Amino acid sequence: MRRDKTERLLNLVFALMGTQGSMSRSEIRSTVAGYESSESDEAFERMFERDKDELRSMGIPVETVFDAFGDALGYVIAPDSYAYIDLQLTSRDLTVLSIATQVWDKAVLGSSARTAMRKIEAKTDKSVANSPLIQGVARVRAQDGAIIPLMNAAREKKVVKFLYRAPGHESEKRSIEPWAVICRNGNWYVVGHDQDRGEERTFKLTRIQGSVNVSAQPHTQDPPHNRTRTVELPPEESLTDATICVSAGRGGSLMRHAHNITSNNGIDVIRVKASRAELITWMLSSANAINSVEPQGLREDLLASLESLATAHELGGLGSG
Amino acid sequence: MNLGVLAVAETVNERLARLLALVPWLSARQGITLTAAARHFDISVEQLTKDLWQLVVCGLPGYGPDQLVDIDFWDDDRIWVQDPQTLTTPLRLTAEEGAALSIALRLISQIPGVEYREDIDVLIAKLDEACGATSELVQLTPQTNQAFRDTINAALEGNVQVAMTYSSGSDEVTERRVSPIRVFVVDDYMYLEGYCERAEARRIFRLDRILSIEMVPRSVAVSHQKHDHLLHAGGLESWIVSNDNFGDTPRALVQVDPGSSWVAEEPYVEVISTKPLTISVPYLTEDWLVRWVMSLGGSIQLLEPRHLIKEIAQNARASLAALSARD
Repeated sequence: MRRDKTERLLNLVFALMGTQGSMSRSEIRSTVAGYESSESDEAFERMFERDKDELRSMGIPVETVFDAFGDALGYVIAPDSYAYIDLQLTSRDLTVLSIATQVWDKAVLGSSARTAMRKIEAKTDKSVANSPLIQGVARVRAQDGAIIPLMNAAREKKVVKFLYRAPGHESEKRSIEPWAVICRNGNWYVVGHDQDRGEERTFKLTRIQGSVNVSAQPHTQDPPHNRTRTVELPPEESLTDATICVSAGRGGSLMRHAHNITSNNGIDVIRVKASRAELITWMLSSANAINSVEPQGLREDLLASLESLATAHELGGLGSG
Repeated sequence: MNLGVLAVAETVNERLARLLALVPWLSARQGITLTAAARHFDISVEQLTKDLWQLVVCGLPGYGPDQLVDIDFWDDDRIWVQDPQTLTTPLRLTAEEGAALSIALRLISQIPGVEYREDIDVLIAKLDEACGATSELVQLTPQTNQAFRDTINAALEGNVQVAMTYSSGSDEVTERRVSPIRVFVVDDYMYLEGYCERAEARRIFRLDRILSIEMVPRSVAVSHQKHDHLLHAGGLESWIVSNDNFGDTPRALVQVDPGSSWVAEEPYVEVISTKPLTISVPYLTEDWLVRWVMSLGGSIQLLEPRHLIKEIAQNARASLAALSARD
């Protein structure tokens, strides 16, 4: 069954590429190997529609030729739109590309990168120069199946629909006009215009449930000028400007995000602006080295976190009794 | 986790794509052996032979001898394309294929010490033009200080050491003198691999954890220079092996507050039960595990290993006492 389908599709490609002008449906049915077995008109129509869509989804330009009255005459794959565009690559380019192909490895887009490379190599007899100096330099591990449809929808400016579960909320159906897919700290997000909220929103891909449906509807809003180049994740809450004193040699996370650090007698005075949740996490990473915390509210939050940490672990864990 | 459908069995599309690419590729390499061609397409010789048999029964309507694809592959295991019919050229790159390459190239071009940077920029532009400018729709940009990158780049080029203040994963801040070997990227994190004089060993440093860095006018010992053939055992691959293969790593059992369910979204986490939310987390060292639980401040509770539970409680109490006493 599977082999027959590959063979039929292959024969369809040959036929549509080799035809003069175009091929009508009835010509296809009567001459292309694989279609003669259709038992009825409907069976043929269904089969041909599916095959045509499948070829198009692979990027094979199956064009419909219309007559003067707008009726479909037939179909053709014009060599001009099928043929690979020569990128005039040097053998150094091929080296760089073969390394780019390794970047995705087993992640999403890995198979796209490999099929791309095969097409490129088919067009050249140049060998790939081996350069150890740029091998193994980058790896992307993204496995999230939502990345590809979101990227394609952003390019084609199509609306996408998916089920989304924000923390502390029930799942909800969302309709988004995606602008860009972003990786931050190893996590993946999509940013775009939220049709229900009527404004820009960011979604974490791990919170998307099920698959992403790309609809036929076009975007209604353009992203703000140059937005796709500089998309930033919005802060999840307002920022606190804190001053935290830490014993020297500790508080690395706080220092990394600091806007000012002064050292005095073995104490580092760190000024840092971030969300409360982030500040608490960074302080807890060096909890026993913290000397003082401003503002007072933040200090109380830290004390409360330590208290709940202690309480949660003082009973010796669940099931200890 | 939203794991995509990574089909193990080959789909009709994948096979068809290979068959369409195979004919022009073979035409450009007349006389190539079955073994070499199979290796290139990452398939078995048996599968390649099946592919070739499939191709030679296809062709133009009529399907007479002059209309079928004609490929010889039975003499000396060598492949000769006699008549490719209409498959004289590979299929144009799709937008998705172009994006896969140009996004990867864009990531590579940001890495300090990478050669051929100008060629890479030209390539990205070519691909984006041929495939409809898509690489910017996926942003994979390491969030690192450009000045730090420039310093490392210059140090790599000049084969000199760097002195840096580094905040380690354990939140300690140390001064280090490092002979840089190379920089690599995993997702949007950038890492410097180098010989660390303090540790007297090769170490990997995350660039966003560097607090300050400057070049020092001291040459890197020849044995630590980037041309050292031994270096290929290090870098990205060893990082992946030690950080990404959790097979033998011990795992902790942790209960998560409903308000902190995002903890379970990390890719290395395995959800054991949902009510209450209980997860299993791999850990390389007990130190790391204790720090990690503490950094989440009571929104999660360690269940196993049990001997660390008390330690966490004591650490928290001691910090509380110290902080209260300082008022």
